[in-house]
Amino acid sequence: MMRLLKSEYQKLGKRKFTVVLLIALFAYSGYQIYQTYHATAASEIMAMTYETTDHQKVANGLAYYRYADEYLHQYAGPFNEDTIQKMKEDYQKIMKKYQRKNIDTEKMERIYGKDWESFLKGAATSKYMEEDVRKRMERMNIDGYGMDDKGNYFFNVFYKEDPVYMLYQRIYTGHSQYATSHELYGENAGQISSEIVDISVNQYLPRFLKGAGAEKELFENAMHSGEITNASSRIAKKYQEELQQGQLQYDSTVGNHLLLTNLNKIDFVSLLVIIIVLSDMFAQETHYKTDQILIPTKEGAKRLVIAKLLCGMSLAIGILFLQLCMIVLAAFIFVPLRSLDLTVFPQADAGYYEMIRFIFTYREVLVSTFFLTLIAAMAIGMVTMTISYFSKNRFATAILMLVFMILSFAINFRQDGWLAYLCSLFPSHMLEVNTFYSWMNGGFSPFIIFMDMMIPWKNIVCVLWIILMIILSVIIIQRYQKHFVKSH
Amino acid sequence: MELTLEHVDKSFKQIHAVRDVTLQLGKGVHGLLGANGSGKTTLMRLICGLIPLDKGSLHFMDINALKQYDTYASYLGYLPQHFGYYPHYSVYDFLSYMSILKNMSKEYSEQRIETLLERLNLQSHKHKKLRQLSGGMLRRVGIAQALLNEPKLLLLDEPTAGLDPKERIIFRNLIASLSQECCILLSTHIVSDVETIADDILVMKEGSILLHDTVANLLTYMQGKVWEMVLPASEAIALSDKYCIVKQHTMQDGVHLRFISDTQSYPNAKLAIPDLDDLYLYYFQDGETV
Ligand SMILES: Nc1ncnc2c1ncn2[C@@H]1O[C@H](COP(=O)(O)OP(=O)(O)O)[C@@H](O)[C@H]1O
Ligand SMILES: [Mg+2]
Repeated sequence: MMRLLKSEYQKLGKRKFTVVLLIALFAYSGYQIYQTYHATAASEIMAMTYETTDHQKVANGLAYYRYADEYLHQYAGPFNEDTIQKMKEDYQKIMKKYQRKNIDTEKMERIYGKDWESFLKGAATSKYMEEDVRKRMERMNIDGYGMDDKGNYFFNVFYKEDPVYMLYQRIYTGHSQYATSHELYGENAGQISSEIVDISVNQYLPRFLKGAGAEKELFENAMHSGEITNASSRIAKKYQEELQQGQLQYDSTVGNHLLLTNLNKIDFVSLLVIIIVLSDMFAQETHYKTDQILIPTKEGAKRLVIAKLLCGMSLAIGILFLQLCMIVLAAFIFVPLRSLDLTVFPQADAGYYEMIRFIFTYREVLVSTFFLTLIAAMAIGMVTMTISYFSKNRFATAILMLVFMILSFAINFRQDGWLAYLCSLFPSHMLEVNTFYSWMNGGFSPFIIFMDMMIPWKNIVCVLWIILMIILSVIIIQRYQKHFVKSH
Repeated sequence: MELTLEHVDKSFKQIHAVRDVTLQLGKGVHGLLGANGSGKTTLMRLICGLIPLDKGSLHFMDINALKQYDTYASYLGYLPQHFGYYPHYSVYDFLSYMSILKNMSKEYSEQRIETLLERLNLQSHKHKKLRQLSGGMLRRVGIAQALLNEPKLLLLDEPTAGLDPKERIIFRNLIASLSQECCILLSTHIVSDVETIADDILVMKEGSILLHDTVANLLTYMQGKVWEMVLPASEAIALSDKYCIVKQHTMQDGVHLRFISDTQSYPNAKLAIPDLDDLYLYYFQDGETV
């Protein structure tokens, strides 16, 4: 059987197209992974080199994440009021010391021109029309501006303190913003917007500590239906109890969160590759008419079918497992993980993983992601091979599978009621693990209540697919004789 | 070593392709002769187990082929009429893939492949991709594939189609050398293919086996039915409507004719020594295309 399996692998490997496709996929996901760690902050309009309080340069995205991780790690330990107090104090100290006072005139001139002051003032007080502003922007290469409700334009203002100020703003609050000409020349001149963004230290952390975060988040997410609220309040209570029983720990979650972000980036492209590679699995023997010499052999049709199923499944799993491994490996190379028992909690603008915070641990999400991803891979592999088996035609298989994929995009989680649940069964949606941990306003709840038990819907999805896969493989193996040779 | 078919029957929707065939084939070369569409391929496929029997039974050396298919298949070598292959495989890779399917050990199959490549004169093409080979070479690869596991029951469906005269001779010698250890069933619609190597001949028509006998016996049966004569061209045309003409050759003294007739219908017709062509035409004279 092993030799048969190996020869099926070789058969796939002999197609250059397959090999090229796989290499392309891994190059693509490698690039995606790299991007996550090297992205610069979305709020930055123009590239800037951060600087630490002890005058170290933080030159790029990766350096930023590494520094943020190290920096937040200083607060690691039991999590309590003192932790928050300490963080607040440290933050305020830095904000005070590096308060924005000195405009970086050199940079202003470079970006807005020598007369930057009169231009920004004019724009902030309705002196210019849109036309004027646009012309100037084209000339000067300015790529961003804002507009207030009175139709006044405002632009970023650069301060000499920005490199330090904004670095710590981003680390502590998860956001960093340039000051704007609005604050300098507009109606409410003098008001500093930095307070608006102090959400993390002032709101999230205390909420997290009280365990109230869980409940509030859940209710915010699940306001729309009575049934879901019921489920959500129960899960909130359950996790709160768990949180309160154990000693809460604080640590940097930068590395952990970037890992989740990357896991969330695995998408339907991988599934498409599986479809294309496997659509030929049972079709090529018919296509090349080799079936008639393969069957009257000692190993025969039955073992060949089993070998093909194993080959296809292991390949599907292998493709996604390798991607998962690449992601985990990247985490160790770039920003290493802290404890996986920390609850999911985005900090320092690391990654964009949009799931319910404060409730689930990184470990739980990680394990679920591995499971859901691998089962999605097997599911798509199995469905592809089943269609390939019955149609014996590569293109028919690929087209049917494409229809299947498009169908899965046509209905998404934001549907009403059962459609949202149906949608979660599609392999391409199973990869969006995120959604199995959020309440969608359409009516999707990650937990269903059955006979007073709270059952995670993702488990049901996995079990359903495993059952279906077993049934399909039994059918295929049982029917091998009837179907293998088509009359020529 | 005996292949036994009992009341084997197979229909496709409207077509009754194989009708109640009962056969016993021992060691040696058996030629299966029949026009296109007479059911040769279907019969071969039934014997291979590629398509299920409607009725009947199939045994080989006390093995019930339908029940112990694995064991049965290990004795089997099969060359299909339309030999399918993976174009991107090299000759060697293809044969070693087949040897895996035939559950041969690695060392044994390596040695076996070398031997067969040598015997079939394919040595120099060993690493060529199958898509680069000519039709004759592909056939030879197909034959090599069938012979890999040293089959006891060798089924060759029109093995000589596409072979050039030299290849045919190589093939004939190969088959002749195997006939001592092996039961070979070889289908063809080309009489000369089997004439020299077949120990006995099965004539198949519309799904039934009409005759099954040694070449010599079959020819005795034709004794007294084959005639030769020379006629002026004008009369030759009239004759061809009445009798089955085997050969017709126009020369200076008129048209030389060889035809089949149960009686001496022309006084100047002379008896000729029958050969398989005569036999074949005798059975397929009713307008079937050959
Ligand atoms: N798979 C099939 N489906 C329907 N009819 C078939 C099939 N295979 C063969 N036949 C029919 O059975 C008859 C015998 O065909 P075949 O065995 O290929 O003859 P031969 O090999 O002697 O030329 C033909 O009339 C053919 O059309
Ligand atoms: Mg045929």
